[in-house]
Amino acid sequence: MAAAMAMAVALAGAQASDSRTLQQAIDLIESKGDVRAALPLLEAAAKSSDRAVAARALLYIGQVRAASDPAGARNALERILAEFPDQKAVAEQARVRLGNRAAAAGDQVLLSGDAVPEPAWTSVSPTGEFLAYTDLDTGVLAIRSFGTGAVRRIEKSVNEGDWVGELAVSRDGRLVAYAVSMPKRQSELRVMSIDDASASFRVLARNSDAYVIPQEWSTDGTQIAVQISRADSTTQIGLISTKDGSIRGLKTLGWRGSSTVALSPDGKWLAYDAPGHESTAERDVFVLAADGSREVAVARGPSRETVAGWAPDGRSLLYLSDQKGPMALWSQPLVNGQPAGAPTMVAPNFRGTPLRITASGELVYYVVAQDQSLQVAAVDFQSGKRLTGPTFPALDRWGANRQPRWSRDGASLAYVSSRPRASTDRTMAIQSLDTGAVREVPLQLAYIYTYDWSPDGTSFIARATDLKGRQGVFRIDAQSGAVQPVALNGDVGHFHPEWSRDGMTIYYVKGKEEAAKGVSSDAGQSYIEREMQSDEERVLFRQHDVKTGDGTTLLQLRKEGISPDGRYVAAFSVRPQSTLYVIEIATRRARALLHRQRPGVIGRNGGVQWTADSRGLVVNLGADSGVAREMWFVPLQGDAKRLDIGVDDLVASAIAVHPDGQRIAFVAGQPTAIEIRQLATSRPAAR
Amino acid sequence: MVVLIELVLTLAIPLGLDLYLPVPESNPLTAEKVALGRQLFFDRRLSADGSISCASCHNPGRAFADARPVAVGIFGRRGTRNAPSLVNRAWGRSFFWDGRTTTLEAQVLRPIEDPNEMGSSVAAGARRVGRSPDELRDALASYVRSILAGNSAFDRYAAGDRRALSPEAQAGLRVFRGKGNCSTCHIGPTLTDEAFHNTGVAVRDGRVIDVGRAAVTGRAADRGAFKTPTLREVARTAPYMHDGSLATLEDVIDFYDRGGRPSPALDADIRPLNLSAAEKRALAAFLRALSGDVRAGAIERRLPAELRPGRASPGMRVAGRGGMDRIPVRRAGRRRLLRPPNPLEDPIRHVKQPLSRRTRGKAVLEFEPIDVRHIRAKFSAARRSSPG
Repeated sequence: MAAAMAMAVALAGAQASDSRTLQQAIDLIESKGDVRAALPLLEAAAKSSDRAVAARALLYIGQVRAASDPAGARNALERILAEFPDQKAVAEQARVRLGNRAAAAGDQVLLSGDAVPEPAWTSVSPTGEFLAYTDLDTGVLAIRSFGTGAVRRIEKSVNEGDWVGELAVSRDGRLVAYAVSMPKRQSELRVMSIDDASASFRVLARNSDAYVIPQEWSTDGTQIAVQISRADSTTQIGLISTKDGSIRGLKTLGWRGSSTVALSPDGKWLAYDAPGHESTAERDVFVLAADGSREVAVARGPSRETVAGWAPDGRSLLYLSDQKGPMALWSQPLVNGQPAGAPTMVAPNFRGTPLRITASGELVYYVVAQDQSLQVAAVDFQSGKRLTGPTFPALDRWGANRQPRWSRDGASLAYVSSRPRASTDRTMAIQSLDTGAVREVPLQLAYIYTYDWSPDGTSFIARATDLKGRQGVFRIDAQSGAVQPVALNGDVGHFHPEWSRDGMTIYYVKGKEEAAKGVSSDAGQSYIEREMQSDEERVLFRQHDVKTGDGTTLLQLRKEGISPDGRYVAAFSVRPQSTLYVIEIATRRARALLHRQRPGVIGRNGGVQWTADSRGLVVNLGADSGVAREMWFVPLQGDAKRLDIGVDDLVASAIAVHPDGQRIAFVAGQPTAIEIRQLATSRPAAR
Repeated sequence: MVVLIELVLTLAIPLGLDLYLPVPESNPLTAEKVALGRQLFFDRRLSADGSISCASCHNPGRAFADARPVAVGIFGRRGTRNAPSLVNRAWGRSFFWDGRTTTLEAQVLRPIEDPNEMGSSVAAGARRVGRSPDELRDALASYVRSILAGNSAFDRYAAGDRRALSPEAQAGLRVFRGKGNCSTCHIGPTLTDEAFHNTGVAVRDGRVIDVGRAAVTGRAADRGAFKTPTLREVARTAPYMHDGSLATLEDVIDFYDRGGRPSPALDADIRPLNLSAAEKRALAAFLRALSGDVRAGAIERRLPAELRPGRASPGMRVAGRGGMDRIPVRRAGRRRLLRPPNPLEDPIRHVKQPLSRRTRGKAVLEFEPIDVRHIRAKFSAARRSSPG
């Protein structure tokens, strides 16, 4: 008895020691960025008898080794899944990092790398031979053959400001339906021949207050299942006739709609998914009669279920679900729209985005694996030399953290952190620099684009989408996460809000959304100062009032920022070249500070911020669409200087400059895999 | 070959509403229940003194709402809240101003037992009308479920008829969705988010005089919050708000323009709107354009989907009394096969008269009505017909 007790005491002591070792390693990485010194400690902790400590140590090994030793990193993560499945939270992170579903036996990679388009604007042909997609560089419709790789643009009549959105290839592979958004909230649903290059498109629906998204064609080609995104932030599931464009609205959902709507091969049923309420990421799957006569829940529970598509014979519905553990692909047999028997698992550990179930039963899906992390480096802006770092704050949620912002007193670092299984998708995390402690604030928002700390640190001002689907400027309580609308978008939008130094006013750009996106040359934007107490707006300057050096350039107030001393606003022109300007508010004169030939490479996705002393700006500078390769300091006076931040895979996203004028928080890392794959769905997976 | 076909009974859904109308499996919609429900809705015997029916406060002529600020029950007893319109409650997620019930089946019985309304009991009311309590419940719920409002000028405008709304009403629509912030809560086909909001109406002299939703949830944050009412037919449902305290649409617009009434838990979306006089007029014009058709009990009978024109194919199975049968059916043309009269109006005529006979050269289809739910279909080969 005594011996047993002594052993237990010794074990507890050893485990406490292992826990301390792990914490030492974390401190080395988070505060000093010293991965080399941390690794032996992590290796030691990974041998701990404390399973929680060992699993976390393996997770961190998998994270910090990703760049230098991918195989070792992968091995560590796979050990978690094999040896520590009981450590569910850690295992889930390992699974995410392992690149979603590893290409299992039988999976075929159809497309990879830069050739892979955005899945939201992609439709795979029913035979799986080609895909139709929106070319993000030009905004027009193109076809890519999986077999030959040949690309053919088929939509040639897109006007300036028009944008091809979601698409659906017909079941015979000869037609494509696609949504086009246009300026002034206009949109069209068009149908076009894929084969006949000389044929013109046909407009099925034209709307000024609804956006019709094609989902799936009927077998006979007479109707298309659609989602109609309406001006009141609701989404209606319906069917549109391809003969006359008449729409049968079947069911109205919240603004987030269904991830997809799948029409059964016999045209009698529509499968869709929907969240149970506005503030949850969980969804349930339903089957709705195409005549509206009834509806049945197919997969329901405290979990995330989304539609993948109908089996070719229409006798079963495939869907994704994490109800029984990791996300998996399931098949539910249906008879007359009703579940018949238990569902069977088709593919475990599935993390892709379904694109199409082909006529021969393969699921074509999109998969992306990220290896990006929030990092901090200290740099001397004069010389450009790195002083320390990069360090890795927020090691525990590696890969999930974005959009860093330092508090005005420099004592805290805020960042937005994804929480895929939480009740809200995103959390604001606030990390104290003194203690390293992280406080999480659940965001009552669906999405947050840009934000800024209030000077007193009690709240944020953000451009966001709330849980009702409204976009605009919101104030977020830094303690509770409670959200209050400040300026909602209507006919005009509100963009890039920032606090004044005294916290009495906020600044933002007001104007047409398409202008703010840079897809239109509409010059109707204004730079606004808003008194928070009275809600009174004052126009500081209008875009067309600004005079550039040669007097001809129209500026687009894009990803701008007001200098902390309130004298300047940074702005960009994005076409035909990239130029960073500062506009002196008093004189409304713009001065070019930095220039690049290629359009859109300066300060993408919020990658710009003023220094606290208003001396200049730190900007991301990229060469292609996804990755910003360089970070530069651009002073108001003097030459721009490239900053050595210790990484060469800087991500084109928001950066944050610490008030000390040295530390910069940023996101770096590259996608490890972007692929379109296909897997057979005909045989159930082994349990 | 002769088979008995069970007709699909659905409500005729007006323009602007979802075609899918939720009906609980425990109380499927039938013409019989809807007809009974309609009788009961007007039956004063459900009240303790035989003076009050559902229709006493839910006047069909006023979109099933009440012209009085608060409901008046037996012996002239006054309630505390305005009787809301019953249109489109089939899509409701909770009922009463405070959402105290979550199904129509539960809702329809409450007024019978409310001492300020009918002041009776469900058992006694059911006895007086010669029905069981379950029959009473299911029939009333079915009838209320059949009260639909749509096909307004706004619906026609949204469906593509750009002339359906006057220019002023179109301007009002822009205010509704933009500066007026109305479409934050009044959304979707039913023009309600079915949620609860504190607009300050229940506050007098800084005091909440009706706790509203908090009586159900017990949450302090819900004190003074009430369910968003539908705006369909709103021009016909004055007076407004949960207590009927605002007499006109203009009063309501002024109320919101001022930012509601100060309240400790005022909804974050309620704030001064600073609408101009022209914007207010336009908004009122738009709200008046939300009036259209109100229907109750408008049951449609349809052939099963597979027998409808353009849907039939050889060899399909059709459900009929006595099991499944295999029927050789050819495409029957584009016109509707059946357009039966509403049996609620004249059930005898409906049953007695033959409905339709269609031929398309390959097969002859004869339909004979049996009762309100069934028809007998005779398929006989003609000329070149061949069974599937």
